[in-house]
Amino acid sequence: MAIIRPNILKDAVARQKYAQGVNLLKNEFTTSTTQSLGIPGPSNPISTYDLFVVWHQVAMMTMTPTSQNERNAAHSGPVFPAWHRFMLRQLELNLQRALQDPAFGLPYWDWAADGDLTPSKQKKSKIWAADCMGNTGSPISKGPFVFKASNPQSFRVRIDADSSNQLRQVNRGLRRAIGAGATTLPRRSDTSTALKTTPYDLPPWDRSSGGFRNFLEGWAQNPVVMHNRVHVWVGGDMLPPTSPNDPVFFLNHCNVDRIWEAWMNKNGRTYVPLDNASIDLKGHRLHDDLSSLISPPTQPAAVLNMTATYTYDTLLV
Amino acid sequence: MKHKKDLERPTPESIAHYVQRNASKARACLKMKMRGGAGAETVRETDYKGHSIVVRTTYRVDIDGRPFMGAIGVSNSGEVHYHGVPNMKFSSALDLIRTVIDVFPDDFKKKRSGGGKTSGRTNGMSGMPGMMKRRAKQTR
Repeated sequence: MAIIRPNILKDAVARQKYAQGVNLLKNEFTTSTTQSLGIPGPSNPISTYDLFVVWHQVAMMTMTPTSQNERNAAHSGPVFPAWHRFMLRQLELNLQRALQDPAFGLPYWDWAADGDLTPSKQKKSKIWAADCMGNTGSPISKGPFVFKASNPQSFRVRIDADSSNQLRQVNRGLRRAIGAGATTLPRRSDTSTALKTTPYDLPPWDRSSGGFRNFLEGWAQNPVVMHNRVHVWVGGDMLPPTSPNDPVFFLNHCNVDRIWEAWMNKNGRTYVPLDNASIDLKGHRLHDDLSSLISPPTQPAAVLNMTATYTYDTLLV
Repeated sequence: MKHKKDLERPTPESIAHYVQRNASKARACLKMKMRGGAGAETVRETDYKGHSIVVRTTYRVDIDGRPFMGAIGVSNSGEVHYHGVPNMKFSSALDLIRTVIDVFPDDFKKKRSGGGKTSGRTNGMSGMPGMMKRRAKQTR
């Protein structure tokens, strides 16, 4: 039976379990080490949660093709929704194990609902309360992800990237600068436009493409919209390629996934490019392997229909 | 459709196994400098009325007298981007670098604010609806 992914602001149990699960995975260490992944500094074990941070960076540094600096194995190309669906499902499976709750569904943040509020009310949304994701700040000072130097079990950022885009080991609190980079979140009018935007994707399959994927990712307009706008609006650790450091990353992407699901419900489970597309699109075609680190790979074709595995409490976006 | 691989429930042991299997590829990616590195050249090409046009753009950026090592690129529509701030695009390289300084505070410790020059500020993102004006942080 399919699990149900809930709206985090409407489900107190999911809210509490998500924070608990993230902190459990933050303190679950595998035998993987920073040294084994070439991260400079002393060799330290990497937690299951932090492997998601590294995985995102690896995908982002996998250029597709290597002759350019824009389209990578997870972004700025057709695979954007599919790769993140794969990543979300891996996190969900790990959270289920950590929580010992196989029915746990990853919650989403319906940011367009907040986006319809005034800018000052957006910053005061319940998602930033101490019983949800915590507040803004450098570092944040409220909520389940506050860094306490004296408590080694407390949430902390252990791996981030420097300004040259190289991973490094750190030990610090989570940073957010809510509303500093953009005045407003995406709005309902944006998600409505997304659902009406067809086809799925178009040549040249990058940030200049027409179609749903590029609109959803957020490159279709300037300033950036949709998914990109959420990263920019939250700010802080949501801005560099190590953005999974902020647990809000997964709530944002779960909503992105929900919008994709709503789009497919309306427009059909179509995906392009197909397998006969140019080799320059390797990593983005229907049956190409998705960039993986912590599990076997999968392909876009395998994640187009996940309705037997999970559904959303609503597809009204 | 139920995907067979989805049924494989991860464990710390299985995760370590796959990380080990993928480690060499991951290390290679993580060590990779962006194509061209600092001073990377972006080549934009188009044809117009039978004429072939090639525009080559290179950014060489110094921050506090030190070269900035990130590879800055420019899109066909002239927007500037940097992989280290992957969700943003800028109409000005100056605004991009201001954002880099904000996003990586550990790399650029705060200096005492002076009343530096403000000319050259182009309000790359800030002039657009929905984006806040970033305060010009001038340092000597």
